[in-house]
Amino acid sequence: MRTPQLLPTVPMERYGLNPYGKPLYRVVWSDSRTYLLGGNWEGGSFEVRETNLYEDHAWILEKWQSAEQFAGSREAWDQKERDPNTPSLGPYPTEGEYVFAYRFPFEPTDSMISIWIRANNGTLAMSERDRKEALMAPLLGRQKANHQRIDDIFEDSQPAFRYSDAMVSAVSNGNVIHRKPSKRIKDVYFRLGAEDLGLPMSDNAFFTGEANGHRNTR
Amino acid sequence: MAQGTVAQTFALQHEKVRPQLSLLYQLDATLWNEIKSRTDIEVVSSRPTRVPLELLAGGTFTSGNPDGGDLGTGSAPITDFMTLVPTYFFQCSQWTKQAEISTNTDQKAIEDYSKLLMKRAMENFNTYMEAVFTQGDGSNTLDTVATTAVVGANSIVVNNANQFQDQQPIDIWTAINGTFVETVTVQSVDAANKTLWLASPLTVQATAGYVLLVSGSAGVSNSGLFGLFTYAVSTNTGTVAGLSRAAYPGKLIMPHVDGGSLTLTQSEARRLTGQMKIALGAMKAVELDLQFNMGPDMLAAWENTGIAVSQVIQNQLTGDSSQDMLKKHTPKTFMGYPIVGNGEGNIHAKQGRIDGIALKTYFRCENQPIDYYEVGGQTIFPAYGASGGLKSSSFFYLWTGVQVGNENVRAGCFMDNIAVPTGY
Repeated sequence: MRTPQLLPTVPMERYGLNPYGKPLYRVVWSDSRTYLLGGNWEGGSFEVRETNLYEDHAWILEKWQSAEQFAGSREAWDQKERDPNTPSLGPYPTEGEYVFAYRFPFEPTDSMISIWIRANNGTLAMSERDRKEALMAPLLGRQKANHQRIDDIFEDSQPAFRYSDAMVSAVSNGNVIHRKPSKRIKDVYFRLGAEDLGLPMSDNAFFTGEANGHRNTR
Repeated sequence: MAQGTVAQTFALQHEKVRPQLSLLYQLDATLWNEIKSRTDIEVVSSRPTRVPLELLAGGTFTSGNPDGGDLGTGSAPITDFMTLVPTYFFQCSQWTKQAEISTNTDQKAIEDYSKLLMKRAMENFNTYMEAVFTQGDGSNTLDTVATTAVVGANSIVVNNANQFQDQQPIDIWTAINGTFVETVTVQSVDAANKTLWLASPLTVQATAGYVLLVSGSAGVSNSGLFGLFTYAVSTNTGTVAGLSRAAYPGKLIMPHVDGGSLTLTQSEARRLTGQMKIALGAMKAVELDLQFNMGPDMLAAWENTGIAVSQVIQNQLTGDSSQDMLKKHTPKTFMGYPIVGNGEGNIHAKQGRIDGIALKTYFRCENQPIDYYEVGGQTIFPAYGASGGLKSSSFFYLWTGVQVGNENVRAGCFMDNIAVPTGY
């Protein structure tokens, strides 16, 4: 087994010691962290291999757990170890084990380590009720966001003036203008062509119009 | 002479309608959205899609005698194929003309009912697909009956009521490949009490263990959508997408750890990910986009192992850049792997179970994307009355034809039978 490569600059004892005189927390380089894993590797016969605990390359904060916390009772552990369908993790960890706590995005500073530990202690101090609320709140928040997203998609798909009398067509009959309300958007006459809009035709700079081979739009 | 009481003023009083419409039911589509957005989509016909797999290695390796010895005969790799057939789902929404015209302007109502119905229909459909996929065993199973409900009972207790929606018809079967019991309609889902309140009482007993299926399902193995539980099988029995597991022992099963009804511990989580490493060898789970699917109960169990930082506590962190960095990079993870839904979990996940899902191994075969059912450009249809004339009622359908494949069943893992913390 390789010795975990520890972050050299930060004294971790300040965050407490376990009953065996080792720090409660440590920062290790992921590639240096291994453990024993036994099983029928890739369908072959039973074999115990020294295996990397982490797959990526980063500084990892690890937290010490007692044997009971990490592994449960010795009886349960031994039962698991006897089960051929379950991977073997070796002997019962009587002195506890360090477990993954946090992956740092870069070489950690002292304050980042300190903040995580403080936040973890705050989490552990929460009541069961508060914890449940904390777990459910983001789920409900996501649901609300999804509602809003679908509402937005739907509203975006709607014509701006559908069922509205804001769009009207004006029909001139002498001096009287008749308004026809409640037009649907497809019924509204849009003046889009140069001729409709009264733009200069034929000999203008854009060379539009029938004289230049363009058919009038209407 | 009677004095003027409040009753005489009712004609004058304004009646206030709160302008917000509160939503009181759960809608969420975590994992189905991941499968949709992060995996390949193959556009297919309604004919079966073949997924070729190289299942057994070949080449006979022996020691021999070059001095006239018999060198033996050889072998070659064996290939076979999965068969994926689209399965079709429909959702009909219907409303009356009176409901539509009574709410179609701001002067009449706080919300346009027909528009509301269309918006919710999209969300409902995604949520239904999430339910069928997340606990799908290939037969459109949604859940099982948790406690026997006798004849005349107007409710059924299930394991995860979030799998169902109000007004949903569901089929009760004794088991997959068993006997059809009856179709019931959910009046209201009581998620907190894991109870489905029914529109009408049961006419046949629903015994604990009976399965609850999407209405209209055949009740037969591998006849529906191939969901998570289709592929998350740890024994060399049955078939997966047309392939016999017994024909290729160990190749079509997913690494599994039995939680033994014990509380979740870090060591059990290490056994679970270890089981997958043993199955995959050098292949790295992180390269397969491994994510863990679990419900709030397992999120709580994982937090109880003592290495989490609650979002609530994170929100209390204010100040310097180190704290900001910590907050940005502290999504909830399981052994360092992401938890689905951006770390927030999945309310449709089966209780007491954690699934490691290698998203890169999943893909969808889509014969018909989710869309409105269309006939000649028309998507809303009138109903017809008994006289043969029109009925003042309209409806539309959302529908899809889809199947989900998995090209490497061994790239994943699951742990079930984990003790559920109190209160979940």
